[in-house]
Amino acid sequence: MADQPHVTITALGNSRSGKTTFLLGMYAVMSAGLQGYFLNAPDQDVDLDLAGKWERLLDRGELPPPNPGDVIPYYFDFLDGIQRLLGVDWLDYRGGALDDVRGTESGDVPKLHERIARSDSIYLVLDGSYLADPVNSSTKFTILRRAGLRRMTALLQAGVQQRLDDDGASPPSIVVLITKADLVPRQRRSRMDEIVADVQTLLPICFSTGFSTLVCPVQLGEFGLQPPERISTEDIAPRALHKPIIFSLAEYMRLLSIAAGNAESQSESQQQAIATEISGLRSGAGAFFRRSAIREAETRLATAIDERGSLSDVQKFAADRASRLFDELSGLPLFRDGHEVTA
Amino acid sequence: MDIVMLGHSQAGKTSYMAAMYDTMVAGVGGFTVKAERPEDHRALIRNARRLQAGTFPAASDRRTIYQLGLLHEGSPVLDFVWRDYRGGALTEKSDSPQAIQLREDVAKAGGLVLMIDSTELIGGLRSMARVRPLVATAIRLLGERRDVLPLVIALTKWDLVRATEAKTQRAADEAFGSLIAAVRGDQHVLGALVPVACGRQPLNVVQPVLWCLHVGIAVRGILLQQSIERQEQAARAAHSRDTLWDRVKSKFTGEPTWAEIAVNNMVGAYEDAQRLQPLIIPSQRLESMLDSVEKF
Repeated sequence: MADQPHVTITALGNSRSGKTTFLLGMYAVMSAGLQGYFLNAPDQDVDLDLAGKWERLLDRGELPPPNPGDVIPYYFDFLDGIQRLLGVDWLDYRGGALDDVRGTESGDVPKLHERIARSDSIYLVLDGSYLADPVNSSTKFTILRRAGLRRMTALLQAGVQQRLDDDGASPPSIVVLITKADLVPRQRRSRMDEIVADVQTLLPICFSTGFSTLVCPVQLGEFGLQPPERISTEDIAPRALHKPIIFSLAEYMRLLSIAAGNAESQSESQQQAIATEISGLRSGAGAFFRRSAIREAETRLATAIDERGSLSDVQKFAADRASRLFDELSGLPLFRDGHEVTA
Repeated sequence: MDIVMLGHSQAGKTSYMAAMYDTMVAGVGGFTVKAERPEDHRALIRNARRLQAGTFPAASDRRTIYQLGLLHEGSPVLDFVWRDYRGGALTEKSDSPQAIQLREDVAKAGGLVLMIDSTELIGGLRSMARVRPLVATAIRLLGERRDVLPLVIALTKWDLVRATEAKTQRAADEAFGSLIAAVRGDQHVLGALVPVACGRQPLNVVQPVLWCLHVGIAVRGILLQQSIERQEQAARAAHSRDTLWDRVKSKFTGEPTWAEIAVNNMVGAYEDAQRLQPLIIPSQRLESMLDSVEKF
C-alpha cells in the first residue's frame, strides 16, 4: 500500500455522530459507480460487510448499530472507469482523544497527531442537530463541548504544526461534514450562508490561511431527531454522500498539479542552465578538447528534457482530473484561505 | 474459451441457458451449438421444453459447467465452456469454496455475462443495491485483466416489463451507466447490452452467447495471425543464414540446420493459416448478425 499513490483521509467525530451510516451510504453509492468513478474495497469481505449493512437498512430499515471500536481503518481503491486512480487509506476515529475531559490524557493522542500530520484530508463530523437553530453565544460553548469540536480544533492545530515542522507541508484539506442534515429545518437548510456562518463560528481554524475547506451537509433520509430502532424505508433518501470524498480527491489532484507545475518550472530552469553550459563548452578554440565534458552535459540535458516532459504530463493529468472532480461539487461552499471560491 | 455467467438467484440464468441451447441446437444463421456430454444435452432440452410449456426450471443450487462446441455449416469453429454460477456466489465471504472458485474461473475467463432481472430495475435504491454486487464484481475483475474480453449485460425477463419498457431501459442505463462508461473508456473490454426473454416468445436469446463467441473467435484469429507473421519472419531470417557450411557443420554438431529451421517455421505458419481459414467466414457472418446489438 505504501508504494502505491494513495490519499489518506481521517474522519474525526463523536460516537453517534453518523459517521458509520455516512460511510455505508457513501460506499453504496460510489461502489455502484457515479459519473464513471468507482470506490471499491479490494478486500471482498469488507465490500460484503459494508454492502450487507446498507441492504439491511434498505430492506428492513435497520440503522447500523453504534460501532464499539475507537479506531476503524478501511482501505479502498478509487477508480476512474476500470483504471485504478488512487488508493484511499480511510480512518474513522471516535476515541478518547476527542473527549473534552480525558482527551489530552488519552493514549491515542500521539498516534492521532501522527495520523493527522500525514493525512491529505480531514473530516470534522458535526451532527446536524447542533445546527437546528442559529448558533449564539450561549449555545456555542455547549455545542463545542458536546460535539467534540474543541478537541478536534486542538488536534488539528497540533497535527498541522507537526506537519509544518516535519517537512513544511501545507495543512490537509478539510471537510466539515454535517451529518443528519435533515435535522436542520428545511427553511434554514435552503439558506446555506447561515449554516456556513455558524460553522465559521464553531470551527474558525478551518477558515484561516492555508486551509481549503468544504462545508458539506449530507443526509441519509428524513428520520427526525430521535429515530426509532427501525426507520421507515420510505424515508431513506440519500443526499450528497459522495461529495466529501470527491472533494478530498479533487484537492489531492489540485495540489499534485501545483507541485508538478513547480517541479516542471525548476526542471525548465535546469534545462536552460545546461543548454547555456553546453553553449559555453562548445565556444572557442578549445572546444575539441572539451568533447567528453560536452557529451556528459548533453546526457544531462537529455535527462532534464525527459524529466520535464514527464512532469508536464503529470501536471496536465492531475489538473484535468481535479477540474473534472471539482465540477461535481458546484453549489457547495468551498473556502481557500478563508475566502469562498468557486469549485 | 471459458465464459462465466453471473447473476443473482432468480435472475433467469438456468432459463437462459436452456432457451439459448435449444435455439442454437436448431441453428441460427448457419451456426449451431452442441453439448459435448449427452446428459447435458438432454437436461438442457428438457428445461427448454418446460419453458415452452410455461414452466420455468428450478434455479440452480450449484455451479454448473457445460462443455459446448460452436459449429458453422456443420464444421467445428470454436469449443467453449459455459460456467453458470449460482446466485449466492456474489455475496459469499471470500473464503467460501464458491467464491474461491469464482475468482479462479474469472481470472482465466474469456468472456463475462452479467444477468439481471429486468423486473427488479425500477425499484430505486433497492434496485441499485441489487445491481451493485454485479457492477462491483465486474469492475474488480475487469481491472485485473489486460487481454481482450467480451462483457454482456443481459436484461432478463424483458417480456415482463413490456408495459414499462422505456422506464426500465432508463433504469438500466442509470444502474449500469458507470460500468458502461468505464468499459467504453477501455479498449480491452468489448461490451453489449441485450434485453432477453426466455418464455414462450423468446427474445435475443442467442445474442449474449454469440457476442462472446464473436469476440473469442476474433481474439483467436488475431493470435493466429500474429503467430503466422512471427513464424514467417523467423523462416525468412533462418533462410538468409542457410549456407553450405552450415549444412555440413550441423551434421557434425547434431544441431538442426538453418534450412531445416526455415522449413519448420514455414510448416508452422502453414498449419496456423489452416486453423485461421475456417474462422474467417464465421467471424464475418457473426459480425453482420450482431449488427443490431447495442455495443459499448
